[in-house]
Amino acid sequence: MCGIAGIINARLSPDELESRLREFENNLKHRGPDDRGHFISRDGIAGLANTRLAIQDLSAAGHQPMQSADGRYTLVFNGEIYNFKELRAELESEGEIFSSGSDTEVILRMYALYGPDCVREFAGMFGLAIWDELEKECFIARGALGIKPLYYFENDGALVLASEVRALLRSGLVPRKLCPEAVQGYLLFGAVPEPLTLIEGVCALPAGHYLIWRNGQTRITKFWDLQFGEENISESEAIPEVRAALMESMDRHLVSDVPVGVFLSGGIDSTTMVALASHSGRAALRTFCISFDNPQFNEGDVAARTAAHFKTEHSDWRLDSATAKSLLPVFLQKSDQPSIDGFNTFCVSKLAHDHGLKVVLSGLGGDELFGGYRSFQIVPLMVRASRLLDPIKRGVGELFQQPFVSSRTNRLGHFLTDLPITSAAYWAMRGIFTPREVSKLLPRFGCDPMTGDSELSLFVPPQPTLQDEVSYLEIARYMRNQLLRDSDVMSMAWSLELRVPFLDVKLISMLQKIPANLRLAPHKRLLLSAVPEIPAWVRERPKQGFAFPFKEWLTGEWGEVFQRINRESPIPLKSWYRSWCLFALESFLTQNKIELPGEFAGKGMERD
Amino acid sequence: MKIHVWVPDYASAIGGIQTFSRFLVRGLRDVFPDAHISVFSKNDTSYPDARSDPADKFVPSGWWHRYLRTASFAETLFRAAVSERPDFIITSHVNFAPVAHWLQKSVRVPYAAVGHGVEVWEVRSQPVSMALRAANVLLAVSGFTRRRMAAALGIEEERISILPNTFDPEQFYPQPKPHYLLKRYGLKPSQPVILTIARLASAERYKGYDQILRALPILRSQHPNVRYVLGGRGPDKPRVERLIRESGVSDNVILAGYVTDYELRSHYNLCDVFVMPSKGEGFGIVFLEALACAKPVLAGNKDGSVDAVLNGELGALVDPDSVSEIATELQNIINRSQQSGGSEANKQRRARVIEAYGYDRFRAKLEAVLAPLVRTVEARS
Repeated sequence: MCGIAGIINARLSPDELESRLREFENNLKHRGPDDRGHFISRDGIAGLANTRLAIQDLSAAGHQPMQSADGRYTLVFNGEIYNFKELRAELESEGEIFSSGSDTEVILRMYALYGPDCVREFAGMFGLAIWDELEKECFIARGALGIKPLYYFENDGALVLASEVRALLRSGLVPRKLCPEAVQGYLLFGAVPEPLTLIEGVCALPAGHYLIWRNGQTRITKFWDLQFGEENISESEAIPEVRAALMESMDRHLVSDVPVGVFLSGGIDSTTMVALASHSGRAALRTFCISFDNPQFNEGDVAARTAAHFKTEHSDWRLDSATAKSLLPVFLQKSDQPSIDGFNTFCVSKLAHDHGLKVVLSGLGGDELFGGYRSFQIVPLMVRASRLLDPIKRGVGELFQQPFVSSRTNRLGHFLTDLPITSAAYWAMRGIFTPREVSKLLPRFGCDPMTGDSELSLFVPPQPTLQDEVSYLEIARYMRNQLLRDSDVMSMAWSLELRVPFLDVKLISMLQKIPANLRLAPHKRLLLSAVPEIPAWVRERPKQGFAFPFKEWLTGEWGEVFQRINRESPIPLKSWYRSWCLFALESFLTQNKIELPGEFAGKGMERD
Repeated sequence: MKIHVWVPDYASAIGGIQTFSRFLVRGLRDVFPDAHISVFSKNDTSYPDARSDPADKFVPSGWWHRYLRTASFAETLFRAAVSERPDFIITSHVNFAPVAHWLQKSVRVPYAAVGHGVEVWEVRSQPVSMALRAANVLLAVSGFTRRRMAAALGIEEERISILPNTFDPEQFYPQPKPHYLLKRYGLKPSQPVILTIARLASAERYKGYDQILRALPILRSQHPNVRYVLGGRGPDKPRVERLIRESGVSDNVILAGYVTDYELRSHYNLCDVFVMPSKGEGFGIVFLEALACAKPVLAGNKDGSVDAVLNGELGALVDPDSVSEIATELQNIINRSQQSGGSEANKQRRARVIEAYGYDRFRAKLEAVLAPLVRTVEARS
């Protein structure tokens, strides 16, 4: 688990290249405080840098950048390959000899033997870069589900890459210009949709893709995507298969040379993590929970009961308003790209970090895979209703978009005037601002009003049912652009490796064959049947998102900040998350001194 | 200039007409860089990726209930053309041609229609047949389809121009047998592998996978460890499984299931020979893709495949009805590839298929075949 960066063909002097790489190391230090290093190719074309959080093979043999014995390949790597022992055993049976116990060396050997396609054999999370000295080629790849980030910037034959957008900005190699399309996407959805980033020209390498740089040209290849099937499987056949696949994933995710903890709330997903980890026979499991005085948000009691049931060593942090407020500036300072979420992971990661942990498991992904959100029922319903109502719905849609009704009704209104397709309904459920509102907000950020619905026009690969389409969108949009991005940045801010056993390629490959009516059955029936250890008090609780009492905290000086945001907004903001959305964007722009594209360029944030 | 392109599917399906449609739009974008191109798709339910798709506007109609879809799609096409007055229309499926015909008559918009395969070998619908005869430009993807189409419409062959299918050589290129697939299917690198990719449906049986299953016992006598990888899913699968059991070739067949777009190149590179002794193919883009991966191919000699393999220059042609001929030819190909690796011939195959059917060639042809339409447009303005 680390931070990585690289500079290819930027036409820098050797000294300059070296100092920029060191700069990257400084800016990515929080991601890997245990070790750092960089590499410069013989001809000075390529440089790679790494900061390392040592989890597998704590010895110096796991140092990065790691070079192959013949000196041809050099690798920097961020993440975990959970099946590396299995892959290593296969290679050893073919006569390969290894000098370290790290997964990094296995990646290097696999690449040397099998080329780019080796990433298709990795079960894990990763962002990596390999320099091939012989072919003068740079290979970068991001794991199938996009758990770990990787950003790059291309300009005039040069390629610059890093694990965080901020590190790229601070390299001095990337102009600090705002990307209007990304702002549009951010305002519509509350998170910047990949491959865009808020910085013009900086792209997120999409999940499940690799990129090859050669002679100043790049080529991107997809190597994985979700594809739901509809095999004829009965519930009684599915349950033991799901159970076995979950258990295998858990066993893989517990591979570590340091202790592993679990983020525990009152929900089914995190309880599943604890149940499976206990079942795997791991001694001394540690659990972490954030609780509140406000009973509406507090899950601390349920978590404590679950912890006692599974006999874990439980830590609970009762977060009060004063502490939360004092943490907000730190949170903002540690954020990468803005989002309307992330504070929760920030706090619980701090808790685990303060208890000396380096690795924690999270139940992220359970809702997306097993139908835990209301969107799985509501979106198909909306689509069907809208198809039936086609002739009359446009008038109603216009009415619903008037400013005096709630923002949710506004979005529903837009949906009714749009095509009755899943992606449109999904946005109405998950979105933040309507295209009309976005058009009014964009000039505040120096961008032209929206032309067309481009960021709303989502591609959904054909899936067998509408519910599968929702699952695809939940995984490829909300989870990837928001949940996973925040989870990575906020856990790494505390030098903590977050692992997500639900998001295991092998587990998902098995799950995606199960037809939607079983896999996405209401109340996560399939998951609950596969994990009977989940106690009744968790099963029977109504679903509660991991929410924070933000409203209560945003008083005093923070209250003033938010009042200003509301006052200056050209549209009514109505709910706190919409204010937060604008606040987080402004904060990102100010902190990183981003230049706005239009007439406001250079004037900073103090404007009408 | 404004162009409307009508397609049955676009972003959301894999198949001959879909691939053709996407290259068509890319070609139009390159030939007419300033044109406003709108794509109307009958069956899509989502949008293509706006960042990589060359169309300016995309209108999906797949959300209509299938009983209403044809009528609604026709209405959408008609209304859009009347209000936007495109300079011309290209319909990548002949079934939409009657709508273009009305538009030609009512608002004088010229149109081109494309014939791919079986749908134009016999044209039973009177309106379609009339609309095709009235088209300003008629296109066919192969010489074979052109002959059959001309006969079906009772017109001169010269009335129809050939615009063959194309492929992306950047996406399909030779590689060593991919390790991850060898592992997945439990194969050794030296083991001869035969590959077919086809939807397993009764309507697709013409592709001839049954014939390969029947040829396997013969082939096995010389190559006991031969494996037939059949990629695809569909309702025909239980029947195929039964046929495999009955032929006693269970150990030699791997049903790979649906082959996703991002694993397609790997599958071509896994095989020693790509086979599709079909009887109803209008062209067969899969042959081009396999050839681009420098693989030998085996095709049937009774349909448009003959064009794809340049009358046998790029691949072996067999009688699709003759199991023994298929087996003998497969044996020859495997022997050759096992003896020499056939690398020189393979490289030539790739170079030749790029020369004959690469995108540059497609684009130049597109420009040439649309010239009469452009002249009509220019004459009017």
